[in-house]
Amino acid sequence: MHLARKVSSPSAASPVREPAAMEIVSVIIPLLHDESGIAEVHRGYKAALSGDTRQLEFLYVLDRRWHQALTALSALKAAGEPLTLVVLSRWDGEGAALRSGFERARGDTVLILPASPQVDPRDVPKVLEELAHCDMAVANRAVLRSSWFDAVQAWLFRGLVRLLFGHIIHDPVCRVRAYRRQVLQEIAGYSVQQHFSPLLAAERGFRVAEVEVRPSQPTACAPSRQSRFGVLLSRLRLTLEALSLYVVLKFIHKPLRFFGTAGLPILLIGLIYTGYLAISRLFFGTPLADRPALILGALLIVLGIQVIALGLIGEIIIFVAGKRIKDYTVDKIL
Amino acid sequence: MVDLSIIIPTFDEEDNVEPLYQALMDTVPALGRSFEIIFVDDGSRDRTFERLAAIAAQDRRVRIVKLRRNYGQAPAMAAGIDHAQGDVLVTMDADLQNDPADIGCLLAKLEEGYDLVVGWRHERQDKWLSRRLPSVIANRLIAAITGVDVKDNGCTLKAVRAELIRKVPLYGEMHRFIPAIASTVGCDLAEIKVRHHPRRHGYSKYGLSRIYRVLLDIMVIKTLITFARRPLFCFFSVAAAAFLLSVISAALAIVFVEQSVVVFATVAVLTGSLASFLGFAGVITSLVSQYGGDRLAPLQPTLDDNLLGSAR
Repeated sequence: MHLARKVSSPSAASPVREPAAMEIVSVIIPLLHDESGIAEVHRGYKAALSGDTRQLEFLYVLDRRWHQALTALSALKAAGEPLTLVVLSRWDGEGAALRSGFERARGDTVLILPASPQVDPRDVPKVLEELAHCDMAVANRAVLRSSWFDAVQAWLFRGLVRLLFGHIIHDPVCRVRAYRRQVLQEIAGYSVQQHFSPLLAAERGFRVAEVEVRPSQPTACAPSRQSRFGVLLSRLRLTLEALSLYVVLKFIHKPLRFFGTAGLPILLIGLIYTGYLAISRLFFGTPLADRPALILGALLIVLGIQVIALGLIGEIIIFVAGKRIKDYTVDKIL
Repeated sequence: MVDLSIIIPTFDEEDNVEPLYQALMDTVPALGRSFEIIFVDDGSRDRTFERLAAIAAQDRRVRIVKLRRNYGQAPAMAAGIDHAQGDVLVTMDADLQNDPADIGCLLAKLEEGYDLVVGWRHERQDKWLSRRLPSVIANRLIAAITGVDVKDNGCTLKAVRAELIRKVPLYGEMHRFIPAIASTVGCDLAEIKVRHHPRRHGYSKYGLSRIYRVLLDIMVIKTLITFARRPLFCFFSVAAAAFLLSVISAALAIVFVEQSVVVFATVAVLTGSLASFLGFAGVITSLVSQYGGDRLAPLQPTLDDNLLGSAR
């Protein structure tokens, strides 16, 4: 499980831009496993995006051990298709793959697509067009839940996300996302599951929009359905990811706020409870020594102080050793 | 490079920015220095940015820094400071409660040899119960805890030398505690009376939740100041108190050995563990100051080169 943490951002050294008048759209497709039908997928995406007047470049990111996909894509490339193969010597997860792809992307607009189609190809350009009105667009497949169990889980997860972040992602698993270059540059550094990139972008003040799309038809190479237990596990993992992202976002700049919110109530409850016990012992004579009540009070006080102390240590670390972390992000300067 | 930068964090003040600009233009050019005005649009949702852009289009001395969303007054101020080019920085509110005519008084005081001059709204025009009374209590509390006697921490109108304020970190709600943090670097502080006008347009953006945040920030500032002066003390003092409690509890356990040894012994162990935790935490944190980065310098008072010259 990835713990959300800030990884160094992609190198700022972008290749020299050709003085082309045409805008470039970079389509990044990370392969999650060896796909033999990738050539078909490529043709499908290319056809779907053919209506766009801008110049397209396709970047496929894959592990070098996936021979079938490699041969298929190399053949395509040799046939003159505008695609770039980013071959990783080691697969570090989807986030790292996307970062590698993004480092080599030349476009001002970046579209990310899954290697196994999730969205009806006719709707893919819709997501891209939405970028005219916002900084980031994600696809939302209006999927009917297959069972009530599934629906309840999804509802709970969405509620949690809304509680923590104030935004909702309706379809976190869908990997069709379009970004302006600037957005990816800022958020690609965070090593968090890609499902949460809309939340990250929104937290940094970018405008994020959701586009209703139709799901793709199940094809022959669709992965087998996971068992219910498997789905539940992955949902749990997602929940933990959401929590850890929340902690990172809130904690990095203001540790005491985070620890203090936990520690102060504990300490206060401990103090009040111990005070009550002391008063009842001193003034009313209720025996204190035959029950563990005092232990509980002392424990709460100790715990509260420790948590607050950790928050203060965090603040000290930031103050002394932290480089000047910019708490703000600038949109425009006139 | 200009002599003077005026930094104004702005949030949803569309009706106030024009009058404010006019008021500034009435008084600041007469001071006879080169100046710039930096408005920081802190994610306003109304037409504040449009109005500011119109002003900036006509006057090259006005710059606008637009933040992508609302971050709060301290980050907005930090943004303004980072983009300022003046030798002296003046911060003020955008809601017309500060009077631009006071800028001249602040600058005059600064030139007497001070590093930081803060305003004191000594005739506040706000409601007594909900605004002035909590303010008086808060200011007394802050003065008692931080040891820096400033009568009005909430007054945004301040004048400061650029090199001093760049050493002071600004995040959270720290803009209230600039004098306290600056004291760790060593600064000459002065406070002068300034005028205060009632709010004309818009509404006040602060509420009671601010009290909780300010409380936490006071804790942070106090710890940072204590840590700056005597790094181990702040942890060891609380550790010593916990240790004392532990000893007392252990003594009670021995005295009342028949009835209550379990309870008192457990409490003794608990507080003892707290003492050791804080002690070790203090040691680790002092490691931070050993290996500290670029912030290390501000935590020690700046040395007077003249005094040391002969010793070197």
